[in-house]
Amino acid sequence: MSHRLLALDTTTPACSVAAGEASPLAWRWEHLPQGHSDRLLGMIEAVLAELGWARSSLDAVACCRGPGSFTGVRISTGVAQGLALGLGVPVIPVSTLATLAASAFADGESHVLVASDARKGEVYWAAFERGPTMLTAERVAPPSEVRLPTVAGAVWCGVGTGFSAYPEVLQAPATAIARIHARELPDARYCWSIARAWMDAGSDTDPSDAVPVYLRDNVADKPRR
Amino acid sequence: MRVLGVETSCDETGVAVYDSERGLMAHCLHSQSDTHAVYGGVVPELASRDHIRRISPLIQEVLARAGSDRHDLDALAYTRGPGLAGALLVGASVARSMAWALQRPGLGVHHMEAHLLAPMLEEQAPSFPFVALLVSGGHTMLVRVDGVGRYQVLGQSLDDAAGEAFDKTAKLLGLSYPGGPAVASLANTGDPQRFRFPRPMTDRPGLDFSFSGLKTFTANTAQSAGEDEATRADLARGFEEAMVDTLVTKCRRALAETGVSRLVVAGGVGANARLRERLDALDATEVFYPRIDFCTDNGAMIAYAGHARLSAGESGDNDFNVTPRWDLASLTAPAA
Repeated sequence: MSHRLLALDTTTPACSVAAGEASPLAWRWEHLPQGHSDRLLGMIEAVLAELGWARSSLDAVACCRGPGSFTGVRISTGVAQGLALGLGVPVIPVSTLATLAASAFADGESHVLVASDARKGEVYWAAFERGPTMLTAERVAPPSEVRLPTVAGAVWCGVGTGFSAYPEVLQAPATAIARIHARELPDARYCWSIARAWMDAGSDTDPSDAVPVYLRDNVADKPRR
Repeated sequence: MRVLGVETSCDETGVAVYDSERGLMAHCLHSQSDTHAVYGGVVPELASRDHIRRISPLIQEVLARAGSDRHDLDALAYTRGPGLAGALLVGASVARSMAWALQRPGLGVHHMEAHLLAPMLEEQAPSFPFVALLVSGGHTMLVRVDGVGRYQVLGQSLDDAAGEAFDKTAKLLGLSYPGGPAVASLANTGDPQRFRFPRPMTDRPGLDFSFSGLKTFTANTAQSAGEDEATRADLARGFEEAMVDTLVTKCRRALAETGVSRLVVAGGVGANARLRERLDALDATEVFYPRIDFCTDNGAMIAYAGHARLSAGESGDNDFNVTPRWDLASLTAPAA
């Protein structure tokens, strides 16, 4: 079935959008550490204008839902919720780590370890095989605790800012990473592809279900009495 | 004109629909005070996390309660500031994007302007000009209001806000957060004569406030007077009397200096019964209060403020940037 799908991501310093029917036909990607709220709607307008699509013709909205920057994750899901409420369409939340993995699968990789810098000496990480299918749960942990699942004959590719932030740990021989992918930040084109497959499987979601996934939940200290 | 308003500047998620013809059609509020109570104050990251989970269901609920289809909305308004950056961004991103999807204007409004205009939602609405006392956990100020966007700040707190002083005093007395209702309730059984608290900055001209000394006085007095139940109640009463006396003195002075006879009281501390009693007794002054629900943060006042500006010809924003620090005095009348 042909659906007009818009995907967006603001969960990292990158800001990206993609739109298309059978494949992503138009997209924008910018490195905007502080400018998501300033530029995102303009980028969506540019993509729709390129396709000649009215905003009311969109059939679904997809977004990266984290893990990533807390504020970025809320902008991503918040804008997707707002668009879906206004358009009366479903919203499809997609893992930021799966989006990163999908960019490596698009380049022919078969097994991917995603590790994004989570600050505070930790990474957000998960392992995937082509699909993308998640082989481990998504976790936040120190790089030294990242473990590759045992998959016979797998050649592993590393993706994400975790590999430049903690090269000595994540590239240690024990983790058996064969190569590091050049792309460090997510791109909405791959969020689009995952959401597309999800829609084809007949799944959809109410706007209020597009909620952030932070992984790091110990964010407040109870006062000492 | 029908406007959906969204408030997420601090620890309340508020959504409402205001219509030119029909007035306030519906409003919904989710308060996070239970979430923050164990921490003794608002934790910004927890506030943002709660807003993003609540906001869409509240928007859906308020539209249903108003019996309004989303396409019947002519505009959306949201709090652009001042407030907690992360919390503001939740309301701004959702409301501005929803407006974009509906091809309607989306306007970021000033939270304090919305508080100033909140009494306009009542049947007994004040006419301009009036003097407004804004007293909440984040602000204490006296403002002369000559119209929408025409504000002159007459005086404000140089340190703690009045509500903050209530919260800190509550903590010293071992009471729960938020402190205003807790201190007021304990004060009911206290002796107003036993402790004489200072009335900061009332003995010199000017309309500014300073409340940080009150909590120091409470701490020192509590240390010397003991901590039995009656003493705690007497302390709460002494503190409340000093706070109310100071606010009333400055209001009286502001009305005399401006020659204005209408006073509007807005913000959470405006719910304090003893303060209302004293202000109602002011000579030759008409006093206006928003209903108790709209003294504290709410979506209705945001919908109303957005409506006031948009119906005067102001256009919406293109972005959804927020302004966590935003001086009320920098606002201007709506630009057509």
